[in-house]
Amino acid sequence: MNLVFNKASSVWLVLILATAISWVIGTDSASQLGFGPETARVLILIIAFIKIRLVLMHFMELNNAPRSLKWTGEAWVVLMCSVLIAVTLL
Amino acid sequence: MISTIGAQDKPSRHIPAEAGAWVFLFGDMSIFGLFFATYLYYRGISPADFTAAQSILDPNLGTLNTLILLLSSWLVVVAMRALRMGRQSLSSGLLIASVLCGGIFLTLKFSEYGKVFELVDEPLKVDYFMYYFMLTGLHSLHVMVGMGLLLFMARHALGVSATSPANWQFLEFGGCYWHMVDLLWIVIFPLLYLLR
Amino acid sequence: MKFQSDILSACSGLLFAVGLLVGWGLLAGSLPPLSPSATAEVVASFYQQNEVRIQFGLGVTLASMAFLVPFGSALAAQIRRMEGERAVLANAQLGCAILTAGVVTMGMTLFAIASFRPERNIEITYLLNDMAWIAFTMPVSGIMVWMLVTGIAIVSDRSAPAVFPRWSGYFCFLGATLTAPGFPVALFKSGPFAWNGLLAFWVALVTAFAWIIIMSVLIIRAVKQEAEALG
Repeated sequence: MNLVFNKASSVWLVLILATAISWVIGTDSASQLGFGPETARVLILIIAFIKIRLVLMHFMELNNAPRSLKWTGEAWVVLMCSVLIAVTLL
Repeated sequence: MISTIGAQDKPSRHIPAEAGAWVFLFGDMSIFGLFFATYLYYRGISPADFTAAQSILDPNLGTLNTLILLLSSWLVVVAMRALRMGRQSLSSGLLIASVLCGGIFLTLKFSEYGKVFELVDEPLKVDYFMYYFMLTGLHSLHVMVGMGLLLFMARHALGVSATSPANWQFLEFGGCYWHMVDLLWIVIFPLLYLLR
Repeated sequence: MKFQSDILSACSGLLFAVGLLVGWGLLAGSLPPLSPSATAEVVASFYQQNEVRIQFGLGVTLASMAFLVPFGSALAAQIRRMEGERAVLANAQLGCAILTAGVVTMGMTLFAIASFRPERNIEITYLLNDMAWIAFTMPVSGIMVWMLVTGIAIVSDRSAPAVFPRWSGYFCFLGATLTAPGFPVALFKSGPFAWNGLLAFWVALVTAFAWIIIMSVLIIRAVKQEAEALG
């Protein structure tokens, strides 16, 4: 068991990277990157929910929880992400 | 290499904190979800107004706050590991460090509030800022509650019975609460600062 | 039967909820609420056209308000079992129950005053309607601290078997979080935090009712277990 070099820390690096990516998408005007504002919005939401899933599974340790609780978490992420994407596309 | 270390950490399946705590965590997160959907709905009705009002805010500051909360979440993860390894004072110190991160987050947040009041006349009458203040305000209340919990945790981590079942349950709940605070900000940040 | 007054008191919380829903909600027609952005004319004509319904409905509601107090007392008896003689949380909880009943009574009385002379100058009815709604929805700290204190008592209960299931403690914390968004209603005339808003009104109201119903059921269950243990 290593304090710093472990799976949670690699997950953390992925979270930082994801933050950087959504910062680029959100601040550089989307047209510069070659996709429309609608695509940019959906992408930003999807990245946010990928981050949320990582926090739930690895930091809040649902990954290692009994399967019913783990799948509640997975279902919550998918449901919430689809509802928010649906509302933005309305 | 990394994955084998991770695998050793995992005993049998275990409910983080306790089953009942998830009633609170999922409930609170779901109500925030309802709030996010309301915001996106009204934003969709008048996107130009929202984008215009939003342009006053600096997305770099929002990004910085995201990084600060991510850092503090990671500090809590490391603190829990340290405690499992019996390194109580290190664990306690890491928890205090994440309280400090929370404090920096709030300071930046409130300085941004000051800037909004300086630049906008009656910001509460602008729809975007109404959502901005309420989303970030309710989130900041969660940050304050979380900082209180982390302080308690830092004290509990030093106790003789730090890893007794009841204590451990509390520590895991406090940890999960703090991660939830981080998780909520992970959505609030793009909704308020990045969407166009 | 043992502890009959406990069971009656637990049920009296439901009387409060039913009195509020039927009298103020259905008879007086407050669900869905008048919008805070409605004009004085709209508000005054609501009171003029439904005069007797509103007055009678509020009579029903105001007659049932204090039934919240025996409910708080039954809850206090259970919390005292959790925390022993000093009963700090049990007392705090009962105080908050009384405060909540008082706050709702005040709001309902203002609705009754607004409905008393519907033919008066419409601006005055407008003012009274504002007073009633804000007095009813804005003072959230009574119910918020009530739920918080109850939750702390349940989660710190380490007796075996536990008096209340542990999830109910976390449900109390959730309730405290969800009833809190009433505090900014004076700031907004529309949106989710206005007095008719999704979060400040609907979520908070449903949470409060659900909490009273669930706690009543749990009190009755705990009382029955207590009676069985005593034989």
